Amino acid sequence: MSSTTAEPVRRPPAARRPTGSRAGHAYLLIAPAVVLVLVFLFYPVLSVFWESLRHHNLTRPLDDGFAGLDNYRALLADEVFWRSLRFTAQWVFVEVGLQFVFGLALALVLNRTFVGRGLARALAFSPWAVSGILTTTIWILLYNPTTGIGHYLASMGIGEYGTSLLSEPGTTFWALVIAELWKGIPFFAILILADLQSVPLELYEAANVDGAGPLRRFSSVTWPHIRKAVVIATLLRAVWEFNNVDLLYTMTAGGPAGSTTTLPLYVAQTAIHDQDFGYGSALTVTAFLLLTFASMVYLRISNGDSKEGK
Amino acid sequence: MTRQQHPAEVLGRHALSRRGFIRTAAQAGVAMGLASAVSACGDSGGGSGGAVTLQLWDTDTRPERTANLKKLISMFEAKNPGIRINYLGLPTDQYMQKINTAIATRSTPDLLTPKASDLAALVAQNALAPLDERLKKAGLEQQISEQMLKSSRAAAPDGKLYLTPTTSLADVIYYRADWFKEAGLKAPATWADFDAAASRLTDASSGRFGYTLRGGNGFFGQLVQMVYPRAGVSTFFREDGSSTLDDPAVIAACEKYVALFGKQTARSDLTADFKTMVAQFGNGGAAMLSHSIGSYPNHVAALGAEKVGAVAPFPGPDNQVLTGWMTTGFAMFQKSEHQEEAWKFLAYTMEPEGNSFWAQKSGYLPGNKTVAKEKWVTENAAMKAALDAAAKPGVVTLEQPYYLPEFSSITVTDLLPEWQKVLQGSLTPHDFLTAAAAALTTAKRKYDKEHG
Amino acid sequence: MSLATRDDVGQAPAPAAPPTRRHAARKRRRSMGDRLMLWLPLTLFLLFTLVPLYWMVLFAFRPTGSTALVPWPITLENFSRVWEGSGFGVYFRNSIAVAVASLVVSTVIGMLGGYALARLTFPGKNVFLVIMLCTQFIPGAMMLIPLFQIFNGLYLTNSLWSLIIADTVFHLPLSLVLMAGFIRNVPVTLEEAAQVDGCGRIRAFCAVVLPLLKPGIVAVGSFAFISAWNNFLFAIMFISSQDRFTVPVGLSYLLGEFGSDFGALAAGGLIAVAPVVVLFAYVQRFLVQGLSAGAVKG
Repeated sequence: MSSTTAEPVRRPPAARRPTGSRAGHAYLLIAPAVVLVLVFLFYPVLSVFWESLRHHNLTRPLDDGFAGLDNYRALLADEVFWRSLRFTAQWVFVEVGLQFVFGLALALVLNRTFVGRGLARALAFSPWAVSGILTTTIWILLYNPTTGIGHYLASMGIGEYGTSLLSEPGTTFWALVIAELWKGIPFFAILILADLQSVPLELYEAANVDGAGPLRRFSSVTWPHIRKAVVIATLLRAVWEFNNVDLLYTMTAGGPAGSTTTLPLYVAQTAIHDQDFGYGSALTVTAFLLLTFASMVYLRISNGDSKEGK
Repeated sequence: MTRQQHPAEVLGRHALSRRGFIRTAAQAGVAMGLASAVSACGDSGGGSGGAVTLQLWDTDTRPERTANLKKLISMFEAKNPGIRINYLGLPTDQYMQKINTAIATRSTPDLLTPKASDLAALVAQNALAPLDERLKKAGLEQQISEQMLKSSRAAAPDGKLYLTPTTSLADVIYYRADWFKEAGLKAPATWADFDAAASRLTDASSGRFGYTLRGGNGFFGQLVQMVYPRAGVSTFFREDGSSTLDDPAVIAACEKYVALFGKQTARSDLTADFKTMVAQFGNGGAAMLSHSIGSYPNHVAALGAEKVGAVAPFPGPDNQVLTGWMTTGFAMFQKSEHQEEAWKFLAYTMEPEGNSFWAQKSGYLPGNKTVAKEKWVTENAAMKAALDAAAKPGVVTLEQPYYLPEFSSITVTDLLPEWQKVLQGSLTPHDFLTAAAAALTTAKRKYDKEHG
Repeated sequence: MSLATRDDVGQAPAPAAPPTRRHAARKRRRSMGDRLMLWLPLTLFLLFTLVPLYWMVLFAFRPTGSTALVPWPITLENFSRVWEGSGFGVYFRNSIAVAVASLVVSTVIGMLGGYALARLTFPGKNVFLVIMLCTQFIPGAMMLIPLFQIFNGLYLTNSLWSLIIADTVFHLPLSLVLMAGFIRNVPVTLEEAAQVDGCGRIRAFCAVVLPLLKPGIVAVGSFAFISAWNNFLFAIMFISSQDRFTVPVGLSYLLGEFGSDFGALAAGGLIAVAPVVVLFAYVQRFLVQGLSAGAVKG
């Protein structure tokens, strides 16, 4: 996928292609996806763009009307917008980076043969199955100074009663990161584990014959093979983490003192709680444009650094 | 719906071959989808035998409440054979989004249980039907508590009645009766008692704190409850429309409230919302907690009735100010096709039979004056505390300005980060309250201009 | 990083042979360091995973108000409260219907489109991919009103189909792109060989590619299943009758401004997680190396 997005359409040599490939087949195959997206998403996306050009606050119907670029002008002067943007970048970068690194390590471990592997895999993947509302509640209870781990640690003399990672200066961010990692690592682990299965074994054999160490084997055999899937998965995951509002909203409501407010959380506060759809839509469209730009840059870079694609 | 069990059986019966698994799953999925689609068609016909079916959306979904509401509905249906009511429960954090979507897409139900704080947005969208005429015609106006009727009307931007004054909440301070007893303390009766108990019952070295303070989402209600009565200020706005949040007495009381943080409370209260506070109180981490009478059953379930005491916020320097007297009731939608039937249900919740059952089961103060005299009213410790305070001479009720369109966005979204700065010590209560007062004053002046 | 290799290199099974346990067939013994590299990270990971899960078990099995670290004496009161009190059985059935159907639809559409992306070239491929990607950039919460209008226009609101479709649509880009990646990793020579043997493209795909695609199907399918299983917002917004709600809605009932029943929530959560974990414990066996020497030489 990575190679196909950024690369100009370059026909592979005819010999590499199965015979009889025609564009008509391809359109037939992607038709269901195209139809679904056109029917169900085209108009909603368009309507968000339209709303962003309007004054539309449900609590103030008298002020409704066309706004032109008013909302966007307000946004450029909005301190919360800029602050939330910085925090969003930090959140996505750290979260996805760590999810990937730990997910990769977990996949490599779980790909080995050992007694009890099936059970270990099922357990390691189980957080992914826990619904969002429950994940946040579990972590709230875990971090709570009375019902959480802190209480039992304090009773053993480690740390202080009445404190929580969620509200101490400097630890709030990491407390949130850990809670989200819990759910995010399994995603990468499953994906990479599945991808590892198609690494041709004789490549490892050949590497072994060449006397390659574990690191060499990883960098010359495993990594090139899973790279493409990883590139695209990190991108999609980054978009999801970008738009992940529930965890932050429930655990800190963007606090303390606004320090964990992401842009989409700000959107949720504006459009959903305060019911200001116009301004919320302008924030959403801005996020859309930023994500489009960032994705293109990301794909260009990750595509450029290695050209062993197909 | 029974057809939906089918796929599970399919999955269970076959020993799953590897390829068979996918095929079976595919069949199961299609079968289930079809089954549900079919049953969807079957149900939507609804309303058998000419009976009218009303849709009721409830915005508070605690399982016990749901059971009580369903009982109330069946009591009503027994009395009104031609009317059926379908219940739908909507979770606390999402119901406004669902209702707004329904209003925008013209798919509103007939009945709703909005909170007073939701009325500004709902009335602005012209969604609810005014009830004043019907109340008068039904002869119910005289049966209902004047205070609650006034409060219900005051919550709407146009001063009309949209929300039935069926029941009311009231603020109380919950305390651990068993801890007080152990420490030889009497139930607190003054602010000085409260401060002393908060210090006395704090034992940070064993993880017990005197109080749990709401520093996170929804902090404003607790702030008002702990500050206004102590300051003895009984209105939100002065005659000239400026906010009383910057009143020197309010600022002084707020300083005392903030001083509890980190000393008589856990430091983690900085981001505590209701979930966090209730987990702390229910598991022995805090001796006192401010909330409304509505959560009493929850504390009793966690700790047992003998361990939970309740008192109303204490009298101020020269009067008793009541806070949190917010009506909770029912409303009907403007677009309902069954206005008469919907009203019948609203009326039933205010008439003695329905009102008595619903108020008692909910643990809320009843709106019907006859019901208010019933014996059970004083058997609930939280309710008794609220009523005792209300019976004091010279008592005044503080109304929060829910009618201001911006009230919710200012107090919930805008002020939260600033409030947390106050707790962290980087903003003084004085500066915080002055800025908050300015924002509310602006909103109030704008409102006054629009409403003459 | 020795973890990347397998101990039994060269001991690979014949193509299409059922995955068997091969600990016994291990040739050389693991060294101490090697074993440490396996068990140390594994233990740490499992600890990280299990502590929060244990907290859920703790709250689910101990009486309300208890602060014991071990749920003893065990109480099932939370489970019965959830199962009987809140109509959980119905939500459970609905969730299964929605999740299974989303899994099937997502995987099939993903496989079709993925094949086109992996094996065929066609004008507009890049545009298609960019559009797919862009659909992910706007959160569903911002599009609820127009989405509701569309479903309403198709008479799909208040039907589980609205959830199946919405979950599938929002999950489609991931399914497509991942599937394309997995298909691309199956050597094209295998397919060509089958076609030389006289199979049509469809038969060649079913006979050669599909068996090797199992790990990919497990990954894509489980992602689709779980995202539908846990979707909350669409269920709340598109469904307006109590007996068609799903499990996450049932769970959300237990948390509110006037009371939070953590015990019941934990019990409900365990009920919701259990089938997924059991299912995954079963399907994870397809996550084994499928491409052996023989297959590639084909």
